[in-house]
Amino acid sequence: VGSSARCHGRGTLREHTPVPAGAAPTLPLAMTVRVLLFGPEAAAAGRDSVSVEAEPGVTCRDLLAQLGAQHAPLRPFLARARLALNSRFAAPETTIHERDEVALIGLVSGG
Amino acid sequence: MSVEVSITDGPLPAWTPAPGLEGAGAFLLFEGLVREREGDGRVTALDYQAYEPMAQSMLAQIGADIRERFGLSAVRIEHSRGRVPVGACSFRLVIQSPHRREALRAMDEFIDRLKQDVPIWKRPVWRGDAD
Repeated sequence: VGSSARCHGRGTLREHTPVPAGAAPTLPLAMTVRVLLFGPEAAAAGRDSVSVEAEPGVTCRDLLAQLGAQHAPLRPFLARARLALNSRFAAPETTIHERDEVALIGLVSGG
Repeated sequence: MSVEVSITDGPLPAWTPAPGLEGAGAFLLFEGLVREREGDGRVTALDYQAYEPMAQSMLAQIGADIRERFGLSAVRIEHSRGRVPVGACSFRLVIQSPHRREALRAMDEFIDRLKQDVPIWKRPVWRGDAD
């Protein structure tokens, strides 16, 4: 009896390409968020996680939009999907932090 | 006053009654079995995938919710991961309660919430598929 997490989705911060002197300033950091996939979403994407580029401070609502923009196979599922952060469903306005485990939870079918 | 949860590989073993029913006026046992018909097709098994530990914590949370709301004595939840053949048990919910009506309502609510919120998925293994 028991269970264990078999994989992890984490956000990591990285620096943008340096901006030449005199160029318009950009945000200093971008965040790569790894999103865990399961069930039909994993089958559609052909893998069990995807990476999403997002700005620091991104919310769950915005990350879902970025998922659709950056991963076309997932678009049909997003209207009825939710994000979970650290194994809990998260409200759309919740901010995603660097060390959060992020999972896309579509329609479930247990039982 | 307990809630127990387990997620185990393959079909659930046959139910064996545990001691401690003395205070219960009602004892409910629900088992979900893999059926052969799935839509217009026939399956030989279902493959279950769970996002753990979220599935485990969600099952425990829903179990605790219904225990509190309906004044249950005990709740036990078992679910399969991996392949479960047709006719075998993949889900079991056991409720002990002082009264029958609350136990029946609690069971219905638990299963509704399971099918809405617990991150577990099943994939049919169609009859004739090599895998």
